[in-house]
Amino acid sequence: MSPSRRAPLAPPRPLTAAAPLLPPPALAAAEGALLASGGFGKTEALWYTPVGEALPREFVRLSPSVALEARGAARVARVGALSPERWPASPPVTAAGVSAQWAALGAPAAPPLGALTGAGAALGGSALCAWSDLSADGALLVWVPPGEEGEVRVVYTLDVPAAPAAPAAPAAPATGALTRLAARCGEGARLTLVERFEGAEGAEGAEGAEGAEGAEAAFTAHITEVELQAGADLTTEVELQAGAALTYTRAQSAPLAHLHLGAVGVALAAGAGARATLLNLGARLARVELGVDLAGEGARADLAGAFVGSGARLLDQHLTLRHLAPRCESAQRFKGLLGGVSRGVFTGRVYVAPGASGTRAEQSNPNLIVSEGARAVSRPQLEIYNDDVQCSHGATVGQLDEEALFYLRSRGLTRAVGERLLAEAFVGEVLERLDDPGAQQLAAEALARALASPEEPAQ
Amino acid sequence: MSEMLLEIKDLHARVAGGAEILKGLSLSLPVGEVHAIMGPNGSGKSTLSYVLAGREGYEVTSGSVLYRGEDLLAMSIDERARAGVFLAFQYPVEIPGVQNGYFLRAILNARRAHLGLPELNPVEFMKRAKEALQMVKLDASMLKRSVNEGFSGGEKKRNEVMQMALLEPTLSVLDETDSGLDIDALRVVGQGVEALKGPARSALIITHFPRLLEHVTPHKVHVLSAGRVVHTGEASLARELEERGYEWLIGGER
Repeated sequence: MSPSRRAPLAPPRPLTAAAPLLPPPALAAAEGALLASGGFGKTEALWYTPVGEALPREFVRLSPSVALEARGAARVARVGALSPERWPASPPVTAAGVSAQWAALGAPAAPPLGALTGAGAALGGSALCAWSDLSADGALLVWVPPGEEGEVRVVYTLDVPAAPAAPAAPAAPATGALTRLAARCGEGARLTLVERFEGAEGAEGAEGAEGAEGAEAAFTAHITEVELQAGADLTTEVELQAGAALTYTRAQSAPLAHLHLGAVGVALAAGAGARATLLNLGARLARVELGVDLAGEGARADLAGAFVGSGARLLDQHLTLRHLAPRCESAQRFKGLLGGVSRGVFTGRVYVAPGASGTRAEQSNPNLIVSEGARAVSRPQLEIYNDDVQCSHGATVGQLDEEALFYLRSRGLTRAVGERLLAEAFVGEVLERLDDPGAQQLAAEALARALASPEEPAQ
Repeated sequence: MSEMLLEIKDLHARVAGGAEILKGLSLSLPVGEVHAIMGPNGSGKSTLSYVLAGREGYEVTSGSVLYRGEDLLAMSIDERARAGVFLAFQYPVEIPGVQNGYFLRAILNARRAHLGLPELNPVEFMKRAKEALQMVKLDASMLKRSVNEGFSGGEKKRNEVMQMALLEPTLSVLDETDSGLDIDALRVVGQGVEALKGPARSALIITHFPRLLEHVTPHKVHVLSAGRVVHTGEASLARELEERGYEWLIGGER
């Protein structure tokens, strides 16, 4: 919780004040201003991903259903309207409510709402965070005491109420939820955190037809913050305190009609380590931001992801890694597999502060295009203010290896089976990291969709 | 006359859009026989193997290939394989990320499904795989590696022969399987191929040099030149070619 973990270098977050929910008219005005002005406008960071155009101007807020398992020493509380039914009333999402719940969990005092943990700064400047700070519907709070080990698995499902049969699909999502998860790991604690975002059954059926009528449009906006205190290990919006360790898995497989916005912020204190695996598989437009602050000496971040596109999906992953202390190490391996007329966008920004000597940072973003119409955009961005660094990056865009396919077919495997083997092999390095069978299943389904995806979206 | 497994008649083929490489090749392979096809560089040996396997990018402009009396050229690459045609590659392809053991079980089960046999479970498969590995003197650890990735030249060729042993093809086409092998690997590969001889199985051994034929005795040797079979002889022809070269046969041809 030392101030030095707060990055002095990022632009300040637009809304960091302790923000009790505004009175409804003021909230509506502030939200309207954010959504209309600009927060999600066509800035450099959103160049390929028109979030602003896709977001509704008016919508009905929903509370996603949350299935949660907590094991070991992980303690979980909630604030606001996020409602696992087994919990009765909870305090509203206010600074006081959040503080009271942290206290009830036995966690040290936290920064005020707006940064539920010390990890908020890692997401500095994100319009999504600003919006969530204004009006999150509910949040889960996770605390792992120093030196202990815990595991939390959460599945969020947005049950969109069936709309009356309309002749034309709505142009923009009309319902949605703004949720958060904030985790904090005490010194030397270890946390395994899994978050899965899935569609409701009915919507999943429509998914098979790639956006056929009947799918209800909706959006999810979810922030995960993790603070790892020194030596702690974290996975999700996690604040990793000294020496803590985090293992995080995030799998997004929303129905095709959905808009999915996610942000994951991780703050690593000295000696802390985070291993995060992100699957971006569903929704019509999915934008997932990952901000990691390597804020204490010797912190490590091992980040990998797979984005698997079919139909006309747009899957955007936007990473910002900040090496703020000496001798930190980071690795990013993000693989895109794109079919149909889908688009994949990878932005990987690595910032190395003047004082961060001995930095090692590597980044790779191979993309495999399995149709004529799919496209990948890869944007490595290195910003380095120290001479004593080793940074590498590599981006490629390729197609299925016809030589390998011929070899597989010459042994009796059909083209479809051969393509599946090659696609699985391509993302295998990422999928091998998953210990969550649910996430593995979502990935397998997405691969099958991408390989079978028609060039033109269904009417 | 014995029953024919493979009948190639007046086959003309080219790389798509390119010049003709096979120019009226005819050849008959009886059931249960092993024939060698020899010839200088550029005579069309590899093209023949690719046309038989069905590789995309090769065009047959005229002629016919009958496999067990059926039109082989009308079958897809993988249909041919499941029907028992096996091509041992001159340069086996490395496939990173696809585990060799998984791959071998998948191809064996694809072949078995075609034959109406039940799938092998992992335990039954391992038993078969270990026998085949032993035959080509490969270590079982190679099952855990990616297909051909990082294999030495000799290991790749042994892996080809190992697949052949597992799949028990009706027609094996070995495309320069002897190239790039040291003496020991050559012996292992040769013994492997010899062990696969059988009354119901045939093979075409395509080779530039007769070294492999010291380990496998063919029933006939065909000499290929400029896309045609110009001479057919007994096994002893291989040795004669080694001593005299191809000139004396090819010169008379054109």
